[in-house]
Amino acid sequence: MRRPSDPTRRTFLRASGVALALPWLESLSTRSAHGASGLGRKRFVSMNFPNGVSDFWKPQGTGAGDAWQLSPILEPLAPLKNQVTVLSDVGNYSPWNGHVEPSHANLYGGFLTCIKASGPMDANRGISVDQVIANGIGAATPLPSLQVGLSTLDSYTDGLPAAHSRSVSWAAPDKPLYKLVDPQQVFDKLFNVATPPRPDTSAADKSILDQVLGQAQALQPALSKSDRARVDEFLTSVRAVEQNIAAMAMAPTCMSGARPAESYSVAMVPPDYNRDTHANIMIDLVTLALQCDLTRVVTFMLDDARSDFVYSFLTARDFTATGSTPSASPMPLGGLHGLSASGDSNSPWATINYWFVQKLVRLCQKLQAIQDGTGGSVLDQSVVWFGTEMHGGNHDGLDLPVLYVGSGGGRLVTGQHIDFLSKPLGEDLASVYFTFINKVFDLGAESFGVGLGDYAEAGQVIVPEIVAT
Amino acid sequence: MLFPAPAAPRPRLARPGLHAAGPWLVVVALGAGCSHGSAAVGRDGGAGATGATPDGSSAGGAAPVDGGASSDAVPPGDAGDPGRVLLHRLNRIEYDNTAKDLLGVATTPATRFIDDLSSDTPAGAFDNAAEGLTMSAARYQQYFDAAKSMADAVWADDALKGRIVTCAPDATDACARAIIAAFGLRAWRRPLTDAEVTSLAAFASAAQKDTGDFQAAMKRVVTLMLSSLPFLYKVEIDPAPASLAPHRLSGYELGTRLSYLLWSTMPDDRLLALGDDLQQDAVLAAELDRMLEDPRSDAFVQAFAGQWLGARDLADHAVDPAAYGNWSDDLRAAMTEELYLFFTGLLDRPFDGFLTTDAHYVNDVLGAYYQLADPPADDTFFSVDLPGGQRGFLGLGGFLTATSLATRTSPSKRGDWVMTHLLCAPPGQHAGGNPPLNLGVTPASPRAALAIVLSNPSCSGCHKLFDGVGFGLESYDLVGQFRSSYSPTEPIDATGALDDGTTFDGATELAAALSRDPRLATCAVRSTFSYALGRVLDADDDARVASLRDAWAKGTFRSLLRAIVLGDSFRMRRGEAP
Repeated sequence: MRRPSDPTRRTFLRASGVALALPWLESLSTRSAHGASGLGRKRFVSMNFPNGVSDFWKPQGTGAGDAWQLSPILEPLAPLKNQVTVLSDVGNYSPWNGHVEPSHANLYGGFLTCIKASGPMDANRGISVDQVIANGIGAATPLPSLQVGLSTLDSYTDGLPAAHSRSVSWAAPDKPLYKLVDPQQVFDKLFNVATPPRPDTSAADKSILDQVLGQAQALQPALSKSDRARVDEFLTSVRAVEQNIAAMAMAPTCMSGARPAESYSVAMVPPDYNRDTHANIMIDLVTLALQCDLTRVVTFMLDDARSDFVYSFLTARDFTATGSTPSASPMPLGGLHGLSASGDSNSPWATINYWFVQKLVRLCQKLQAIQDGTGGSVLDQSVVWFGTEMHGGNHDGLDLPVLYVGSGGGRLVTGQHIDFLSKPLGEDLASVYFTFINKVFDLGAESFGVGLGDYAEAGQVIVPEIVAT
Repeated sequence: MLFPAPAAPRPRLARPGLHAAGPWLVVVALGAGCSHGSAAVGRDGGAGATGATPDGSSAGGAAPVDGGASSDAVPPGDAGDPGRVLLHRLNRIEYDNTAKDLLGVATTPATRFIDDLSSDTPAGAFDNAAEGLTMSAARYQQYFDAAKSMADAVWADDALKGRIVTCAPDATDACARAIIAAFGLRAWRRPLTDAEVTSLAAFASAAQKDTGDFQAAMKRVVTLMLSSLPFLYKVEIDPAPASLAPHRLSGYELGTRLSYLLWSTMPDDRLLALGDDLQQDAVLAAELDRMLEDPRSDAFVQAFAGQWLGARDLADHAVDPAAYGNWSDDLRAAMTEELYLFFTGLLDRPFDGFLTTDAHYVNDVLGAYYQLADPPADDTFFSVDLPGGQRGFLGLGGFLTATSLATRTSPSKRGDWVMTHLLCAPPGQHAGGNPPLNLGVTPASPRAALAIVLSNPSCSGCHKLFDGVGFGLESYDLVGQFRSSYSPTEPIDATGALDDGTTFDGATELAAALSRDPRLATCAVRSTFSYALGRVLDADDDARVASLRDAWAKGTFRSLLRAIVLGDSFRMRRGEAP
């Protein structure tokens, strides 16, 4: 039931975990699950990691079902294989466009914008796909979008402004949205916007909408067939909003955990800092934000561009073409970037890639465990985009290691490995995002990114292979 | 020689209206490949899609449309048939303007509305076409929220509230009824019926019992009226919904059409006071003139020219600084304003000069851009006769820039734009796929690139129809500045041909060829007619358009508007078969 906006109580709640009214109704999201209203609680999560991958990423075989097998690095995805689609030979052409040498900062800065990041004024000239989606659906939630990350170490930024290496979300060409790495700050951000329920106006609202419905119905006899159909559309819309109000009055609540005890920031970590713990706390917070519908758009940077963080907390694994096993040797005390520049088939690098995938699986399994009110899970209603900005040690923006989990409410195909090798230049990343924008989120965009040169049409056509029919 | 800009008063450097699409909307790049975004074509949904004949009309002779009302049912599409407009929701700009004029609030809630699948996606060339103005739960939720927040804003300001709550209650409901009737006339753009007033007064009475406060009750009534269908839509009644017999619009319905056409907002008090007197020819013509003279008619210029002539496209246009280093928001704004001034000039200048006039409008920024010897000193716009080269609409920097890519000119994009916007002959939906055609080489020029495209049979069928138009404009670079060569070794070849085989060399000959093309005037009429009615035109409209075009005879846009507004399609409607 609804709670009074009592400051004393609010203080108490804040100290012990917060109960939140869910701000959107079940009835509308149920409708949208059937594609009826275009509304719904679809989510977009982009979980990214830097520096490409070692060998052992690309799955064997293509197609659906047993026609393809998860690769050694992707093996943790086995329980989710039916919800995963791996895309091979997708390239991000426009960030470098043949004019600029591919670099960590260029490619990471352009990973979600598909626009060359290092313009003449070093400005990123694009808006990122998560922000396009947030502009479309963000008004429905207290936070239009959320940016989090794990980097506690500033890395070299290739001589470009640090934003390109440390933010993947761009609200405007000059507006990087920096991520929060401190779990306490993330928690506070979520709960500062989660204001207590407003005074109950549902009875007054319902009385108004009843009148609106009555007036429109009274008009029907003086209208011809097509106009009556328009009034029907209006009546249906008003009734849905009325049901929303009724549902809001009895909205279920979701409980957060307590405010995290851990606080981390760049170069300020405790001696016992563990990146895995940090990641797990952040995954819990992101899950909470999605579960409580505080936001539906999240970018999660598992690490920054050109990171040289030392992943010595991991148990090293030995990789072969068919799988991996725990290694007898410890993880080397080298950083991620150093490892990624030491040959593409080195097992320590693959071990780090493997951990990134484990974190993806952890997040997705949490989302899968939450019912959405649409008859499915939050994961079913989501697109969890996962990948890295470059292929591997070649620093190339083509044939990117990318995949998604979740069908976006049944809009995307899952359980497949799709290789665009048959296309002369592969598939372009901007068109994949264009497809998310228009086929999952129904935003009706005319284009995404700026096609340049020979790639003028990137981001303007749907990629039919990933669209569910 | 400088002359003050003769145009109707315009706000200095007025910016174009708001875009229906979000900020991710960027140029529709018609590149060297054959494919282009499907959203770029099919502007009118009519001529191109229905296999119209080259002059833009389908079979069947033109018939007079001003023949007066017929009492007999006429088949749809027949000469005596005025056609019909769907129940018409206000678009974003109309909603915001109306809210501002009705309530005095400064907020523009609709500009912040989020789009979902079905809202404000232009159904044809214009964002006021009824077909595209649908409703959804998500959109209605926003209308309802906006109604509540606007009522909050009005009730927080005693002056604004005092304009609505004009009396104090006594033992009767007379005050509530007076407030409801007066506000209703303006909010619903027609007098309320007695039954409506009674029903709303009963609602007010119940609200007063609920809240114990007359003021709060009236606020709830206002919220209700702002949430209601007659506010959100332009309602036109068909007394006999199943009859095809044309009938006149009421004076209020007609005034609403006129007001949203010219001002993109609700009728003013004068129009509302005229009532059915507006149905008289002389009164209607006088109101058209009065409203065009009013500065509010700038809304028409911005909405119509903003879309038909592409001025709005400049707002999101990107220019690669590596390709042109002097691109700036000042230049963007000046080019936009020049397009609006150019169209404003056409209100009183014969359409014959559309592509050939010397008159351009420049301020200091554009004076430098056009490299005038004696440019204006500040950002006041002046009409100038350019000495040579850039003439008419095709010489406007704004047009030439908006139809280029960020990095270079695209003859395909310019040609497609001209065919679609100026000839109403969109080349058609693209059938190609992805990825874009890989040329495999770096061509020396757009013509060399397109030669490769044209050698591909699956591309040439369309590209040959419009690339030629773009070639004629190649002497103007990606921001519309004259150039005599691509590089010292690569001269410009500006020869081309229209889709009917007419050949030309350069922009002047292209303009002459287009001026001779009957589709140009037909398309101007078609576009204006579509915007004025707020609906997508179809083959049934070809005869109406042809008749208007013949009567108009390339006159001014003022005379065209008069012919449309005084014509049956604007003043009448009919039901439809059940």
